[in-house]
Amino acid sequence: MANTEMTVAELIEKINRERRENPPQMPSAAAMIEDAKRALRRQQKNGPALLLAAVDYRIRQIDPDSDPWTVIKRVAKAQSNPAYESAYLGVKSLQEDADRDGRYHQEDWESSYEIAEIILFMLERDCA
Amino acid sequence: MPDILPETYCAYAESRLREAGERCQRAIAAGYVSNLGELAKVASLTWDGTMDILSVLATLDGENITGRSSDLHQYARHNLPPDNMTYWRHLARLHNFQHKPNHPEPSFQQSCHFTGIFLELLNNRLPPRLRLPADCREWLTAL
Repeated sequence: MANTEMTVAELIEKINRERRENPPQMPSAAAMIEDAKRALRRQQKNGPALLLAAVDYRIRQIDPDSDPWTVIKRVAKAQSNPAYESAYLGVKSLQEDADRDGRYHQEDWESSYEIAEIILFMLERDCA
Repeated sequence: MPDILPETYCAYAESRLREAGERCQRAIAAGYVSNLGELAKVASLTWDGTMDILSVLATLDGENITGRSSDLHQYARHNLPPDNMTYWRHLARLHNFQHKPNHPEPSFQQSCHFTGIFLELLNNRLPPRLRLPADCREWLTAL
């Protein structure tokens, strides 16, 4: 019997071939930060929100049931390290400044981007 | 032109931070919104005082710096631990405030608070003989 539909074997073979050629990016805070960095470099309006979302994503891996800021305050207290609060608010402030001024400056987004990377580093170091 | 000695930078920093603290307390007591221009001057003095301390650290490290803030930022990025650099963003927000004082009061206080912690960390990196007294900078963390 003639059947022009793709078989399961062909489908799986096609998917595997496509994934070999274009590996899917696993959801990760690092990948999200890279997306945010591209948006910030292009001065996209959603750049600051993407950066904060990346940080929040990583924090939710530590405690999915609490607000990220609550988690950060808890970690800062446990580690006796206010740099956690400084870092989180430093990333968050980029959105506030953009909302207020209508734009964000290169020096500011670069600083916030670096701080987002530092948060990931600190959480990996202290909360692994 | 002769090089500026670390002791001289420290004297500048102490003077600027002390003046900033006195002016900040007076301005806030008189009303935040009606004294934004004065608070911009507070932000300017605080930024300059912090740059003075970074200049001391760079000089002691033998770095050939120009004193430009961009050079001092790069010095900090290459010489301070990552945790310490999280505070830079708050100092930079104060720097922005000095040119455009449009931040709401909680935001200004937050910038001052974390800049105060940053100053304390920088101060602790100075040799004991050069460290600034706490009373010239603790007004920042108290906000």
